[in-house]
Order: sequence, then structure tokens, then C-alpha cells
Amino acid sequence: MKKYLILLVALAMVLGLSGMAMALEGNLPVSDTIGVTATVADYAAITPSASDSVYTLTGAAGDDDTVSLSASIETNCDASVAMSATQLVNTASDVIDTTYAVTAPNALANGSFDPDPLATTYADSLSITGRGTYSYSVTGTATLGAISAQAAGSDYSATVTVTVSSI
Amino acid sequence: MKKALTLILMVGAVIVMSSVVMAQSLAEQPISVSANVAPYAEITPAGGPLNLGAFTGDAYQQKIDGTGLFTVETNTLLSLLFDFDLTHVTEGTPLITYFKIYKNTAGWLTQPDDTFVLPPASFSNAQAEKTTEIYAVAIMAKTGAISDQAAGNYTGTVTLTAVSSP
Repeated sequence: MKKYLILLVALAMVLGLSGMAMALEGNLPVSDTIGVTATVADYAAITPSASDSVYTLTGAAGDDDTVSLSASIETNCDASVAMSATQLVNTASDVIDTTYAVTAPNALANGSFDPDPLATTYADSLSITGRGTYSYSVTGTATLGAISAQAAGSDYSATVTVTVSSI
Repeated sequence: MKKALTLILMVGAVIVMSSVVMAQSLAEQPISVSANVAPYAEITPAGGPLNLGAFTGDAYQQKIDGTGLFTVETNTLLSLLFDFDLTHVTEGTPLITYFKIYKNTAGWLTQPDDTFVLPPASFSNAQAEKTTEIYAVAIMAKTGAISDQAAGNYTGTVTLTAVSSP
């Protein structure tokens, strides 16, 4: 039993000394490095704003009005931007024709989309190259049909959706 | 040659698939918009001017013109007020007037039995939203006793006023 104990203590001393030798190797002072890595995932945030998001229409045939929307997009990577919109519709399913024009940070990426009747979308893969904050302006135009084509009321609504994707 | 083509196609497919996988949606944000359409109606008169012709001046004559038309288009529920006057051009004195109103989808509004009534006549909730209706107006003027109305020309208007029903 005593022999085993001595053997165990000796083994522990050998292991401890070898460890000290690895840490203290070289002339003082000593230094070493430990590698560290980090990964920042692709990320983007969209801050929408609307200085005027309510179309005000007289009810006269062909009357139109515009709204001004914008989306500030902050990203840490190259990205593409897409936009789409639902129709401007009320609870009785009356539809008001709307179109949207987009002003992009890169003028080459300016464009438009029309939720009704073409249901087109806007896509921009030119403007966001590299991290930064990018501003997109969107002007919506709503145009009435005949006077009796849509009911009077303030219950018309629609949604413009901005999507940012990494490239 | 066939092997090379197959290889090119496979490489192309891999590139396309990898680009699809790389495109990743990072953020999506909806922006709400709304619209307010004001109550609105348009009245388009047609068929005028109405002309009752010439009275001889004799007592108790009556003349009718039934060619007045109003087309009304609206985006909201309407109440309607019809009125009619006919007065001497210089003296301003009236002839006795009557009218009756016919709605193209509902028949006679003023009286079911097609009789003339004294103006004005109002009709609540007369026309539904998002509709176009035509209203025919027939007018009648009567003379009283010979001395009840001055000789001369008379002029007047048939007026339709549409208001948004509460």
C-alpha cells in the first residue's frame, strides 16, 4: 500500500514539473499568444418612416394623391433590397389603384412597382455594396376610378414591405 | 464532347445552387399606408331646358313638360332634395308649379300613383353608395284666375340637391 502511495506522489511530481517547464520556457519576461476568432453574421436593420402615409382623395373620378415613405437600411454586408405592396383596399373589398416609385441611393437602381393589377415588385441589387446606411424613398400614388367605383370612407389600407437580403 | 457538356452543366448547376443558398433574408419591415376617400357625388342634368310653351292667358290652364333628367353618380349614401320655381321675369311673381320625380330603378318617388305634387320634395337615403341613378322630372304649371298671374315671360329652375346621409 505504501509503495503505491509513493508511486502516485512521484507520478504527480513528474507531471507537475513537466507542466511548469512548458509554461516557463524561455528567458523572462515571456509571452505567448492564444488565438481568438469571432464571426459577425450578415445583418441588416430597416427603419421605416412615413412623413405622409395617408392618401386624401376628394372622391372625384380620376382624383389622385401621393404619399411619401422612406426606409433607412443599415447593413454590415453587401445586400439586395426588394419591395412589394398590397392593394389599397377597404373592408368592402373596393380597390383603389396605386403605384409606387422608388428612389434608390444609386440612381441606376431607381424603379417602380405596381401592386394592382400587375402585381410587380421592385428589386435592387446595385445600391448596397458594403456596410453603411442607405436611404430609399418611396412615393405612392393612388388614383380613383369612377365616382361610384369605390365607396367613400377612411378604411382603405395597404402595406408596403421592404426586404433586405444578403448577396 | 458529351462528357465535357455534362461537366459544364453540373458546374453551372452548382454555381446557381450556391448563389441561391447564399441569398439570405436579413430583415423585413412593413410600412402601413391608408387612404381616405371623401364623400362625393356628381349631378349631370340632361334633357333641358324645359319649356312649358305659351299659355293663352285664359284661366285654369295647365301645361306639362316631362323631359327633365338628372344623372347622379355617388360614392356614398345620398339624400335628395328636388325643388322647382317659375316666376315672372320682371315682376318676380310665381306661377303655380307642380312636379313629379321618377327614379329609373324604383319608379315614382313623389307619389306611387303618378300624380303631380307641390315642390319641394325630399327623399332620405334615396340613393345607395357606389351607384349611378337617373331621375326623370316632369313639371307642370297652372294658371289661376285670369288676374292671378301677370302676362309676360316666366323663368325658373328645377334644382336637385344631393347631401350625404348621416
